[in-house]
Amino acid sequence: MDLLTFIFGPGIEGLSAEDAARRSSRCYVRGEDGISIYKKHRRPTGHVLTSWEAYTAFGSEILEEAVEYSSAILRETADATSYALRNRREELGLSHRSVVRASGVSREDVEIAESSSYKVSIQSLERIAFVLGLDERFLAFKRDPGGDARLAYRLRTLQTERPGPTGTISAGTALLFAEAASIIRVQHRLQSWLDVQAKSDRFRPVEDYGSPQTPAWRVGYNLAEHAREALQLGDSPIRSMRELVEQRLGIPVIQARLPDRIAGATVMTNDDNGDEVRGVVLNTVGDNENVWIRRSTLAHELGHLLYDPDERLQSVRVDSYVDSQKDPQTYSADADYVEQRANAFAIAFLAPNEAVRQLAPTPISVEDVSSVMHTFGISQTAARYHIANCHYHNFNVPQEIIESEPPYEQTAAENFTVDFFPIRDTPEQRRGRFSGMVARAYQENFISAHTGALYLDCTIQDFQKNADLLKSLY
Amino acid sequence: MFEAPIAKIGSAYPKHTNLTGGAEAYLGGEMWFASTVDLYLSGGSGRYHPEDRNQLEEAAQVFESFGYQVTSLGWNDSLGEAKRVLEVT
Repeated sequence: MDLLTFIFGPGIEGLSAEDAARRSSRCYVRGEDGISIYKKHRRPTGHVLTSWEAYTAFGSEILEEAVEYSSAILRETADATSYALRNRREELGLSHRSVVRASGVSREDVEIAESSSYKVSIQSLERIAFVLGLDERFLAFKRDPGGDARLAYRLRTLQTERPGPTGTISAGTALLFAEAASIIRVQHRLQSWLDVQAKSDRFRPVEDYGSPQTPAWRVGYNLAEHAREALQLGDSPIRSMRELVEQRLGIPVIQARLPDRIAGATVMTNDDNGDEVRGVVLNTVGDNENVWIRRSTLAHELGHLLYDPDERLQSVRVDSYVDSQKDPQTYSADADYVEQRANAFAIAFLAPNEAVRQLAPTPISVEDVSSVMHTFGISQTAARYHIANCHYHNFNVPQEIIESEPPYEQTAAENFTVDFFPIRDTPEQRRGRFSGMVARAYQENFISAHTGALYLDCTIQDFQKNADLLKSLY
Repeated sequence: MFEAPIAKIGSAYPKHTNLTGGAEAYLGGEMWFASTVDLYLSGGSGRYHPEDRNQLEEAAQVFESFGYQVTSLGWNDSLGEAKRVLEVT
């Protein structure tokens, strides 16, 4: 018997190891300290994995041991899991209580997991790891299972030393950003397995934040033009920013409930190759409840994500509503050129300057302002300052309040993932395209129903029942 | 015993089937001697692993009947297999 048949079962003769793992109908099951072939009649209580998951996480040598000895030992050291969970919580500066609240695991289990992890179910350990931003696949197997120390340091700092409009963040918010890192990492992994192309790779960071001759807002406008060209958008309005960022650019967008002063954030983590990958966290509370504002926030975060060098972005960059909705051409003594450029990018990306000049020719009427708002899906404040800026402040823009809400189609296009989700247990931040990728990966046999349920934080039955729908929706 | 045919799978591991030549056996596993009388055992075997915790306990009783002080590593409910790691509580 050749080695691959030994590991993956019959029917894969002549295939490469990767193809054999993909085609194998054999499943494995993992517990806290080991992995073995899944035998249904024995009713194991561990986490069932597809051959593909087991192979990509642990490699053929471990799986060979699992078959040869009925199970393979996964623990790198006796206390690897306990150490990883305790160390990560402390790195993040969190209490047990915060972890209990975020993970839904009992306080008793959260505490025991940090000393005698083998007494806690693998499902609970994985849930704790996921919200802490660890790679749950490598619990026990690696003493440091993918916890990015820079992210932890940044989140701890943000809890204590953050001056400015976003203020310090709470432990709950820090955990939400840590969980976002897990979601981003998993979504990138699943997209890569499913061969979903990420067009954001085509963009390169631009160090230019302006000069006396070319201010930061001018650079932002130029970058918006460049991005529109690269995405072949012409001067057309963007129907759904969420769809463009997630589907065309392959960037995870996590919609979540954050404190109402925070507009959004970019979060960085590492993929399976150790490369940096990023996603956007978008607040659904506060001003973003108006989808015109939310579109601006998302465009602002996109400006950061596509063009800011890593050292500017750091592991987590949090933006307040105050900063991210400012007129980019407003000068102040303490101007933050990174924010100014991102604001200019956002407004010119949503509403190209030339198109705005055509839609709101001089003399500018109230109807022109309304038309710019509705055509490009931007707020009236943004529409007013942008029209003024596009006409170089040579003409007056009417300041009358326009009583107008975003039309239903624009709200629906941006809100799609927030308004409806078939699984009630799944938290808001794991809904939307992430859930669609999880469902697709399950249906294409990359991941098991157990893994799908872990990622969507629901029961296995709910996940299986809704996988078809999730795939078709997202 | 040493003339038994050796299974060729290109594996780095010694195998119980190297001993049996692939024939039937009641149970296979791993043993460690902490002293001449202290014996630790697991059901770690690909071909001859115990089907349930009772079968593993039976093996422990056999060795106890020979006069050994036996510590069985026990059963892993997560995997539905015998444990291969001794948990010290």
